[in-house]
Amino acid sequence: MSDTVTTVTKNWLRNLKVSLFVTCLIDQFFPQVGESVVNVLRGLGVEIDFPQGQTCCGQPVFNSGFRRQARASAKRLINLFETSEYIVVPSGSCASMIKSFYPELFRDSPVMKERAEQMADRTYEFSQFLVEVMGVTDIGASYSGAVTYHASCHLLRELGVIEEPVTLLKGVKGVRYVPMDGLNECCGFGGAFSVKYPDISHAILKDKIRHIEATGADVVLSCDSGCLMQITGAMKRNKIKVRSMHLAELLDSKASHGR
Amino acid sequence: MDVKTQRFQKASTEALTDDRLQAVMAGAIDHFDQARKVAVEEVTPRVWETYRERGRKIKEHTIENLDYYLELLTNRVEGNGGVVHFARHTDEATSIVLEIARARGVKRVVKSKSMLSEEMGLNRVLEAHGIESVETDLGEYIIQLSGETPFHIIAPAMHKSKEEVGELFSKKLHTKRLTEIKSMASAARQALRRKFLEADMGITGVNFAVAETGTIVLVTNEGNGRMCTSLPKVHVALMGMEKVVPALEDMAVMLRLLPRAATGQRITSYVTFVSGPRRRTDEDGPDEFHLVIIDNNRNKLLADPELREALNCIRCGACLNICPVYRKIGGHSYGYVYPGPIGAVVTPVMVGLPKAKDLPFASSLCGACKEVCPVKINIPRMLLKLRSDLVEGSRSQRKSSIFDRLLSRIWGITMFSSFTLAWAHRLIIILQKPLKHEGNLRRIPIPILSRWMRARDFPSLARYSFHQKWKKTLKDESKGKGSAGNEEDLNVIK
Amino acid sequence: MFGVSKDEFLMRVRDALGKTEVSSDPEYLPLKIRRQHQRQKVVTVKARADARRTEILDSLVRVAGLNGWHVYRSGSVEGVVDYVVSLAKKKRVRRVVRSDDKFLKTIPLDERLQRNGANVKVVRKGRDLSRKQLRRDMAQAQLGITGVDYAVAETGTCVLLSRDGMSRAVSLLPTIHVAIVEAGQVYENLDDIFAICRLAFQDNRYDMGSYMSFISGPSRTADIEQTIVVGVHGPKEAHMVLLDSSGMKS
Repeated sequence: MSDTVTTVTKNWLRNLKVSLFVTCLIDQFFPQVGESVVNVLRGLGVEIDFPQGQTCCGQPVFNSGFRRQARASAKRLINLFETSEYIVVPSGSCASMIKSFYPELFRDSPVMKERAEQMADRTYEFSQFLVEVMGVTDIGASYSGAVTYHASCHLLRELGVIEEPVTLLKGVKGVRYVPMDGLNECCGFGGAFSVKYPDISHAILKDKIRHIEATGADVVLSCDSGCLMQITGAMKRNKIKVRSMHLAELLDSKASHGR
Repeated sequence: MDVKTQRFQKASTEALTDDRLQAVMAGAIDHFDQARKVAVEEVTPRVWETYRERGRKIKEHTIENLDYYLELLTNRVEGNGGVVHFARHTDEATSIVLEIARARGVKRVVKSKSMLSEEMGLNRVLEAHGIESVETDLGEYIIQLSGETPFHIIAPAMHKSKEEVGELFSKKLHTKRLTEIKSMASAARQALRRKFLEADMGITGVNFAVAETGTIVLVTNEGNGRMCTSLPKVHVALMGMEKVVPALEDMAVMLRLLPRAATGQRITSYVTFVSGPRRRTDEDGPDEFHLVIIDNNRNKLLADPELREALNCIRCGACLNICPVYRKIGGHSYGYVYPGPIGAVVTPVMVGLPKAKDLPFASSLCGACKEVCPVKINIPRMLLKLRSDLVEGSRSQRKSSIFDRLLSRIWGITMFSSFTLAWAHRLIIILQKPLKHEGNLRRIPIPILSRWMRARDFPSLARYSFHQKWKKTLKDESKGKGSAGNEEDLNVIK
Repeated sequence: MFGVSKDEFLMRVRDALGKTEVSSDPEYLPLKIRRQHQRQKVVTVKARADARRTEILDSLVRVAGLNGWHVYRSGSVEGVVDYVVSLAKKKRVRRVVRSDDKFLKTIPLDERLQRNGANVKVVRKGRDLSRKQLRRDMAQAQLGITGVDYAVAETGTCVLLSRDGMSRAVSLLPTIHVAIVEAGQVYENLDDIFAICRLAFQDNRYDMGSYMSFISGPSRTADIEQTIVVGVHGPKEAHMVLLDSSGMKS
């Protein structure tokens, strides 16, 4: 890359302003993941704002068929993030709710649909943002251990984010990546599905746990807290010694914040 | 077929706790899925995508102009010397078949695979009228002998081990106890040979119907389809109205899609193109050809633009093979003719949404079905649509539990603003104190959440939410400056 | 009458689609190709088949083999006859039925088979042979021999049209089916075949013939424990004998 281009890129990166939609699960259960997201992005020189009015993207009620409620929720979020240039979401399912389903929700109201589409365009899942928008693959993090990765369904199939999380985790110094069998297979969470049909959910989960254990990894990673809840829940109940982490937490490990 | 969709919870639990069934399914379904993957690799994913796109376009165009193509098909079939009948629902279809049989003194029927005939419960009715109707597809033959319904669209007897089949044959066919699969197939071949040669009427389904030439197409491997359409004097083909494709050349891409998606084959051993009864100068073939075109609630799918693409289905079964739910609960749990993801869409529409209210919800919406569908049907979208119909649809569609509605209210209040959320957080922190165990919750005395706890721990709520942490520390991290705005302001730090 | 009239049925479909009038022709391109252009298409198809003859034959042999055909490629008629005769001998065939094919008439197949003790019946309805008798003959035969109308390299398929002299059952009822393919009958892919069929349909006053059979291997099933068994209802063995007198291998 020529000097001018590098400078322009560096300047652009330095002036990058990003709004964080932290998601309700992370806000309430795993705030440390949100912290890691902030740390990683700040370490790259990104300015972060956190619109404090945010609560939930509406996916739980949308998935349960309560579209009226989901629309109300979506409207609030669209308003809140109206002026954000980039919206980063550390969750495949929440990002795809915004990107794939917000326009769908407002199918019958042209004005809201337009605004929803605009928000969708500006929304990125966390790993997607790092790799696709910022062009960053090595955060400068380090973690020594064997790590495996579970590809969450919405991230994979709605957003088409396949390689990015693996690229990022491989960029962490000291990490030994062990791909698991059935890496693209569902973990059985599916939100309300896991409480409405817990036995089916659990039967599916058992296979995923088996695959995780078979890798011999110390850590299982995912970009979705829902999946992590499901997987961690079973591992803890069965006293399995594998640690579960959100990708952001790995990238925040012993991170040396270079610019 | 009897509708048993209300039994879903029970039936799926039975399947999950049936270790033998779980073992059989694990091997069988994996086999099909692997075969499909290999077949797709062979043509390369890029080429496979072009086939899928073309296949979808053909079906979309056809369905949008369904009346036109059904009319063309009818004209051409009649021009070939065939007779076309129209049935609004299965009772009418069954009456038509009975009448054809009665008028020709038919006593013995041989049948090749037709899911539509399952919708009609045809065999039972024929038997009740003193007409022997023998299933000739080996899998269908097995379940006919055992009195069961199909377990899978492509492999109806997938759930049966070879021991079970051996035992079944020795009991019903009076063979000695067979242990080798080869000898079982031989036994079936022998038993059914005679039936083919003596039958008065052959009944088949239709995989595709080419409007342009008035041709019905059967995609098979065993040869029973050829037998049923060549040996008896009368051939009756049962066709779902959505099976029509416009042109002969459309069959090229359809034949590239169906065998690969279904069984991983480049092409099936036989593809049979029937265009009416035998011509005068033919050496053999039936004297009469009847095509029965059936609606049976397909118009309901057609009438809803969001559900219309379910009619694109070419019945390959790929979505069944990839579905994490189907793989665990198997075909019988779905309680009607079509199991798996496509079944979860069409069944509620066919039998009534309230009756089949579990089907749209018994899915994690993982989207694997959408990914493998050879004609790119977006099943998850349609499941979501059906879920919203159950909650917000018309009177005849709505069926949601009080508990769900209550939960959604609670969610609505909690998530209304960061203020209400903060208060909910404080409340739960207090309530969860006695339940915490090493940072997790082992039991939750709320009925619905307690189900989660049967096999999993649940995380406890974090002492401080991210909202709180942001306000306390993260916001002002770098420079110690902060702007105290109200919660609608964007908090930007420099 | 049981069921409803065509008009009523189609009206219901139109209602569902939200259409108030009878649909006009949607002008679907593949249906708009007129006879002269279809002929042009077929000319191109045949030219390509001629130009790439060797490649296409190699492809056919390979894919057919993968599909479970026993494939034998011969440069001469004698080679073809030898193969069939030795096959009949090996399988101890007593009864043979064959289609009344133009090509099969010209080769000394019947005599050679008969010399080896097999009874050969040409399947053709006549005053002496009733449908019942014909069928019995075919059901009892161990070997059924046919020519083909076309073969498709892409899928390893033989295409047989039912007509005067070509019975449907002769390739279905006997235990072994032998299909004799001439090199000039082989085309590259499914699109080619359907293009040819469409022209035949247009040329023959919109009649495709009652029955067209794509045969791509022996009869098989995987319905019991997903284990493949060959030879369920149709032939247990399918042999493709390719007469390629272009001078390439035997």
